[in-house]
Amino acid sequence: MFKIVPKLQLLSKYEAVNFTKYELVRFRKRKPIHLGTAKSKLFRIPERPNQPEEERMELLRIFNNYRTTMKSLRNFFIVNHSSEFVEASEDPEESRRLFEEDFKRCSAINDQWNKNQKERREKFFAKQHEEEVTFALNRIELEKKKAQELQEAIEEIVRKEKEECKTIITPDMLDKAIEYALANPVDYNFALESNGEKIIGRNTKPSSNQEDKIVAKQ
Amino acid sequence: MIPYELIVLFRVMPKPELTTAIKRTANAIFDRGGLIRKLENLGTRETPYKISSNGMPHRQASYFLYECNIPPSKIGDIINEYSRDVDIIKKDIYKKTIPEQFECTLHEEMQPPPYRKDVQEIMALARRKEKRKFKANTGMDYYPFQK
Repeated sequence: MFKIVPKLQLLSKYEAVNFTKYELVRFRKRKPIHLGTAKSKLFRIPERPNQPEEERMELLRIFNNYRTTMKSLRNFFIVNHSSEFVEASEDPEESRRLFEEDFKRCSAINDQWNKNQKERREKFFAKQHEEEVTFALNRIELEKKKAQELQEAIEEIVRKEKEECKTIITPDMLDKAIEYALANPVDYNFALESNGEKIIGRNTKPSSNQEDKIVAKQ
Repeated sequence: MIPYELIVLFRVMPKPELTTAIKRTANAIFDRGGLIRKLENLGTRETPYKISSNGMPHRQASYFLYECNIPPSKIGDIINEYSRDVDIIKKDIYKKTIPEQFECTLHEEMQPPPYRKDVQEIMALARRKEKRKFKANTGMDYYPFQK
């Protein structure tokens, strides 16, 4: 059964939609339970399974047989293979002694288990503690290293700034700086020769003077 | 303070007038709490295109570069003042970029693809992802059964 929601695109977000009525996408083969019984199948009465009386009695007999056999077998094994059960059932004093012996044995096993578990637990916690301590120590080292690197970076910046401070142009040095600038024009243009030589300047002609050239590639 | 590069194109003037104009431009920075780190003359040369400013067409200009620190809030102010200066044809201000240091690897990149390191890495990766093929171990170089 597949129903398309009519005018779904016209629904505003304030309108509540009962989506249990519809099924937008079916991704499994079974019809979902919330869609209910089909109209055509609504009043159909399924036929009851009809078992003849004789057959029922026969099956019951066979199963009873099986159950009885299994029960007797189980009891047989219990009585024959559990010697404690036999002995204990004879004398109350003896049965008590047997019980205490059994209890001691079990208790010893339990103690051994507890001991082993304790050892394992102690080892685990010791290891965990050691790991935590190492982690913390490593973190401390790392933080120290980081702080040192940061400090170095800061000092580098300060050092650079201090160096640059010497060449800074102040209002009283302005005239000199202007004069110097006017007298020394700078040119950042350059050309590259095929052999990798860098010729600086816009109008510089290739000269034999090595000082004018800069080798760009080693 | 953030380092800026201020490039100013002055109209072509005789030296004393140019000096005054430069001084005026520099003082505008000083007045607003700025610093000048470097002043460079990039020469007087032809502009790449005709520039009309202050009611005059200009085909030549004196290029000057100021490396300075200016309070960022005062940049608009300075630009405004320069736009009213009759000697300035054009001005622009940029954040100073420090060029990244790198090693030239052009000679490696010019090699044919199988010799390039990055291509070799990709090929190794592809080889690692290759699906294992079942070996029948029949001793024959063909599949003996019907496919």
